Amino acid sequence: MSNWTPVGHREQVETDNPLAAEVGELKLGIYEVDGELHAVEDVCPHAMALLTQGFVDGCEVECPLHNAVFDVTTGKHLRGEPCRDLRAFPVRVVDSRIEVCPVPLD
Amino acid sequence: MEDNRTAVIVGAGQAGRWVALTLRAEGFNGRIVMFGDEPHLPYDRPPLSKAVLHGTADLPQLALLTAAKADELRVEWRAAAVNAIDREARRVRAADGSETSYDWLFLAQGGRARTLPGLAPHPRVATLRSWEDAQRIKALIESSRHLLVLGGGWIGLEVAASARQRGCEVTVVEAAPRLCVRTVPACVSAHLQALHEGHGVTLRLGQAVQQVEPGEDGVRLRLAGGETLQGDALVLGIGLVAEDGLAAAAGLACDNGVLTDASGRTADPAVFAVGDMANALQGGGRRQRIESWENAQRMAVAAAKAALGVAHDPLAEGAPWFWSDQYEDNLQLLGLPDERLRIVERVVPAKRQRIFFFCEGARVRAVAAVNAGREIKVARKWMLQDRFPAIEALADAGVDLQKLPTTAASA
Repeated sequence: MSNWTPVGHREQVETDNPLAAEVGELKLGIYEVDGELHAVEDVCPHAMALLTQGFVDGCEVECPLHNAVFDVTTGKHLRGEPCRDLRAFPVRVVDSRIEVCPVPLD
Repeated sequence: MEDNRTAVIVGAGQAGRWVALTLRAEGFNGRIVMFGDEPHLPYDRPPLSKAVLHGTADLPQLALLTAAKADELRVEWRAAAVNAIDREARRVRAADGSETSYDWLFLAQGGRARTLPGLAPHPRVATLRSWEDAQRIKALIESSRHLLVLGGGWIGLEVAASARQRGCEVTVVEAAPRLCVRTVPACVSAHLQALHEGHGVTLRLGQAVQQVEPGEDGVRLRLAGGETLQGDALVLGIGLVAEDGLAAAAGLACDNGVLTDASGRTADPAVFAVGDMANALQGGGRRQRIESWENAQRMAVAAAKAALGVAHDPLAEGAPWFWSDQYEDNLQLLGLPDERLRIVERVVPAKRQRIFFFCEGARVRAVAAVNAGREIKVARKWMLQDRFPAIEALADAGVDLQKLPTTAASA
């Protein structure tokens, strides 16, 4: 786990306002829920859309194109269009810098 | 505990699948038998007019219920149409000759694409409802230089967009003076018209068709105004007819679909009808048959819960929601837009967003939004909570809608 990559500053993420980040080819959404940061993949598995452009309410994000809903703290698909869960990634804050590790959790 | 009851579902689409999922999610442990008149397990139909025509989605990717999931849920799927319902004996007879007794019968048969009276089937003329229909239209698009589309509704426009993107010349003929006249107000029709004309589609609005002449070398459309259009193939997108013949033959009340309450109940307590085929009560005593993916799910969930006696009000879940993807644009409708309401328009050019709010007093009653899925869901939350921001603030493209303070509309 040595490949932590900086993707932005802590102030760029706030409740209901995620940050769209990229690590190489990987597109990630960084979300704040109850003060904690969470990183999940940003492309909806159902159709080509960025979830960070969707509606965030608490720990849930709803795809802007259709109605797949995911828990951003786990990546789990909760409701809506049938599709797989999102992959979740390790995220941390170092000196107010957000860093992610592009190796999925689990 | 053993449960000897049987739920029979007629129809293997979005609605039928949600009946099965909900029965199991609510703990029903008896038999579930699902009949479908197509040779496929339930699959998702919205991509048929888009990704499937582009050749980027195959049947397995559209699966709403895989064989493995059906096994896991113990759903007995039969690829057979149901020919008759004996409501007294609570039994259905299928085309394969089998008879199945039921405790509850869920009709989820959807509809069939409307065609023109007197128009015989022809290899150059297609309608869109099934996977096979989409395969035919895809082949017609690939072999045509000029595609004619009859009907400027959602299906017609989505097929037109897909064909245009695949390089066809496209002409859409619509009898009404504007597009999607049954579902959206003039401001949204005008947006759709500009979108399609901007992509090079020829629109013939306010033009009734007098005659369709398919032949070996193409299809000719004679319009009432005297014009004749010549194309290589014709797609009809002139609406859906509720598949209520089986129900009507069984003596269930039908009028443009099976008459039901909001949860799909018919006058027979053992029989429910849901989705496209149900002409359902929508609140305030008003009846409407809603053709949408979301309504199919909402009614199916409600009917399964009603059968099991689980308290649930589908009308409390919020306004109906609908989407359409055309070219690079995503259009969503929330509620039933009515142009007699005050219309507030919000435009954010940088995001290619255009939103029409349909307002009454301090409330937003409906929203039509282009490329603004997030905003439409913010509005859904306002409507569910009956709390709204100041209506004047909606037009200000400089503010984030989710950050606007809201107040109770009833205050």
